[in-house]
Amino acid sequence: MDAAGLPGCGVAELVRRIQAGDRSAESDLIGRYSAAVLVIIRKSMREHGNREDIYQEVFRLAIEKIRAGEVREPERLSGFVLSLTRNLISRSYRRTVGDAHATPAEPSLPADQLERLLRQERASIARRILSELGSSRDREVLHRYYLDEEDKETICAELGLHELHLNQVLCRARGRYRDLYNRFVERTKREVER
Amino acid sequence: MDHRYIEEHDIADRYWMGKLSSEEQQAFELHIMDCSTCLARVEESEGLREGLRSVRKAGRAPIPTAAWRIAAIAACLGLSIAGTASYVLRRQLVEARQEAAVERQQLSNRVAPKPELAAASLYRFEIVRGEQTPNRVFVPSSPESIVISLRLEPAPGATRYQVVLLAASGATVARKSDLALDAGGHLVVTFPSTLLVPGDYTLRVESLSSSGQASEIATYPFRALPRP
Repeated sequence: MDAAGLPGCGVAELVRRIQAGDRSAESDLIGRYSAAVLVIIRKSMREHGNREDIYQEVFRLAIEKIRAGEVREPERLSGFVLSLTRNLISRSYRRTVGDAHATPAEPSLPADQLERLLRQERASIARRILSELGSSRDREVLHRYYLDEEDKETICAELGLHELHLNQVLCRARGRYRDLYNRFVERTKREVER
Repeated sequence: MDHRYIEEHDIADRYWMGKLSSEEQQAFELHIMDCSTCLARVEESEGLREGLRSVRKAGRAPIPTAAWRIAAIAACLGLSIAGTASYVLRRQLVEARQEAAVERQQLSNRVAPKPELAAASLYRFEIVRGEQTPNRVFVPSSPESIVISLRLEPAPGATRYQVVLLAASGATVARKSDLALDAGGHLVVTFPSTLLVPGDYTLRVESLSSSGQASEIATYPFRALPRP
């Protein structure tokens, strides 16, 4: 696999440290996989609902199973954590479907404050990116690609664009998003530290 | 799955759009478990999509940069611009100011990001009997989640559980309701570490009947200590 490695020690070593009772290794495990697990949970569960419970449960179970020596191939720790995540998502989904048959559906829980804050910030960044784009055609490219989920070929054909130009628009927008979002994260960190 | 394939086939974007085959999705998810570059790429794609969606939902047209700059400069210099152009620019300026005011207000109301997104510490609590050393929790210097797992025997007639975090004075610090035991008989609660200062606390577990009546079933005293 051609992967840019995440910081931290090798995964087999991480498993060994957790089994040896090293508490800092448990934090390292969470630090290493936290963001990826969150992405997968968000992708699979569009409603905010019990995402957080699943996230917590993934790491509780992972640490418990590692301590109990249930990870037989420590070098495949990533696959192990991924399987746990998928199983818990499936279980939650089955439970939700079962509950929906048994009782009237409950309204989904409101997004928490962090979710709302992130949503506002993303909207603010998107507005800025849209305002910075050179033409209304480029704005349309972003809308049609990301929101209407049209194929690149269709967008290019209908707007008379070369795919290279479309890719440049998308690439610039993502780069700008990254830049503005990182600034937001830095700003927030400074506020939290104060 | 490698980076070239991911880039050439727009895998990160198509992941969010649900346009990957089952095999591609599985391979990509395994890849991002170990690849910070692709993980960042997929987060950018998600953020940009969500941002655009919010803008569309709000139905607000973006302010053209040039007009905004002119309006801002004009306002700063106290210039008056005659006619329709002036009206449009002023309206945009007012809107932009309102937007900035709202954002400033949101900033001042902002709470610290939920720490569980960054890090968490797991503790397993036991019921303390007699003079036993109480359970201990180490409070980190930077915010994170404190995850506490409590082993419980299911209470007869209980449909759900709630956990109350009490300070030594008896004051309620936090409450988590609507909890359920997992398959292993554990109740798992999460608190932000920022709720705790060094001192003595108690976690009180209550069972909830179908009528909503709460009954205390266990208490777990613990001591919060600064993390060494």
